Amino acid sequence: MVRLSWLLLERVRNFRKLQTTRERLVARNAECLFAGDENIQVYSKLDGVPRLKNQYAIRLAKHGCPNRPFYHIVLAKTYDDRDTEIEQLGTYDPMPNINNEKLCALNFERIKYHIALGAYLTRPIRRLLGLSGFLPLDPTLLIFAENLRRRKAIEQKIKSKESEDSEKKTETEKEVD
Amino acid sequence: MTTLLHRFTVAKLLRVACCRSVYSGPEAYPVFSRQDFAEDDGTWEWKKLHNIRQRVVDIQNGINHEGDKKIVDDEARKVHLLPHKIYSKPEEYYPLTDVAKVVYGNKTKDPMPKGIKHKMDPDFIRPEVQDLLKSLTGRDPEIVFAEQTGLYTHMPRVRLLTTEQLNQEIKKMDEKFDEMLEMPPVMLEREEIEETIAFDELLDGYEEGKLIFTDITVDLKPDERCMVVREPTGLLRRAQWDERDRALGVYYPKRGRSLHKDPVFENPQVAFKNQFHKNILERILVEFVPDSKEFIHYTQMVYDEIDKESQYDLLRSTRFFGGLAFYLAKHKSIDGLLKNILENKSSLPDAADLVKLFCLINNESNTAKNLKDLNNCDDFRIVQVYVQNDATMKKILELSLQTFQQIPQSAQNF
Repeated sequence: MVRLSWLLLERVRNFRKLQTTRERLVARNAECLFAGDENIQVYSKLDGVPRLKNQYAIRLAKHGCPNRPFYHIVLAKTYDDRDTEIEQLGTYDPMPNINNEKLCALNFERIKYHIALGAYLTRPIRRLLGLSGFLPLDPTLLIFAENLRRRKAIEQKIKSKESEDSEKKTETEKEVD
Repeated sequence: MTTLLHRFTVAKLLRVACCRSVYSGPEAYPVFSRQDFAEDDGTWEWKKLHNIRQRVVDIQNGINHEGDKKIVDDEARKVHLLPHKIYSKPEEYYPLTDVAKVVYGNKTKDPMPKGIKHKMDPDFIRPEVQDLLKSLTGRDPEIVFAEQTGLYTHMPRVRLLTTEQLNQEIKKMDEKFDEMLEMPPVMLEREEIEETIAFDELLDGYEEGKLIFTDITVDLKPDERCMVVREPTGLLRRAQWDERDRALGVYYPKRGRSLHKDPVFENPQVAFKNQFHKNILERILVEFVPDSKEFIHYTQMVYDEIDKESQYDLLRSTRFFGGLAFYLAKHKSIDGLLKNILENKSSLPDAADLVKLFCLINNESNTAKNLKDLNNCDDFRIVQVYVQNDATMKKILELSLQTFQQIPQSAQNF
């Protein structure tokens, strides 16, 4: 999604500059069309999801100790501090335990209630609810997973090249000897 | 008819006489005041309504009094104040609407997958088997009501009682006996849960570990709680039994249960040396569910140890003896127990009860075929038939039986 902002009016008396913004969808990679105008700004959000203007939000509140985070899933107002809450709806532990598990608890009944009344879900909570099967998967997760796979493939190639180079070096040394 | 006029009625007549004018006419509308009903239990408002309702009923039936028009007009004006429905409780007037239910439906109660139920052992449930197990355990009050370390003990009390009170106290103690000797259930092993909900291949490798999700809604039984696992390959499945027990231990802990496995259950040699069999069994009862693999395996381990060393007196007149006898009868290894009963305890009826248990559980054995009428045979004959057919320690048991053969003949002389 792309936003256009266009500075339209400039009052005659010059005591105030009016800014009006008009947003509309534009095709991808179409920035070249608007390269001439200075008033136009083209930008894209990675999320692709518009942020609702609702004061209530379900988000992660960080508790725990230094170098040991622990999150409470919490209903709060967007303009309040991170650790304040109206109601606790669960927990999330990002550090794996002895059995290599990450524990997450969700009060589905209350989450349903607050979503129905229009609460905003932040990205990590969208991911968790998609992973649990409550909501469909978040596309940011799929993009993240694909990038991870590509990086691992590249690292494997580098390792294989290094091992081949080291083998060749030993062979050349033997030949010399 | 009393000639004495009450002072309030006198005041009412005077008031009426003062307020009434010539043009109002006769007493058309019933006049009430608070002082008239100060002595009555009911409120004056209720009685006013009651009289008005009587008038309305008369109007419906066709009986007309004077002043009906005024009543009807007043009631007609009040109709807009009445609710369209009469509510008996305030909850009905302000109903709480669950918006989420209307939008998403109410599906927090996740039923367990099909085919998984908690099954009791069918042989253990039979009332005949239960009666036999209870008679075998015994009722020694010194062992059942012994002092337990860690619990508070009261000072003894001395009371003088009549015979009736004594009998009542004995009845109470019988009920307490049943409570203390209630046997833990013998159940079949629970099946593993294997249900996949979804498989997202695009998520392969997004993390290095599993994610366990639990449902924290209020007022759900542990069987109804939904627990789901997402693996790093992208597979969404239901949690298996050990993962469920661990998650319930984290969020809904129970007293006496721990998340870590105690090594006592795997290396119990030191505990067995010091004769802590009963304590281990109590520990197993608290920590594990009677369905689970671990409960069955560890209890059978303790029972095997007791059978090997013939330490049956440790569990006698406790609640674990029934499980012991049932396990031995099921696996056809009663001989050690029989020997203990005939030699140490020296009671034939208990030995006969044991053999009856064996026949009830193992219907196809040779003893059961030979002993079709168990009630008509003597106790001695029942044990004899078993020793002849299905016993492994034949000679030892025959020797111990010979003592019982001689005693009744000698007892008859006395």
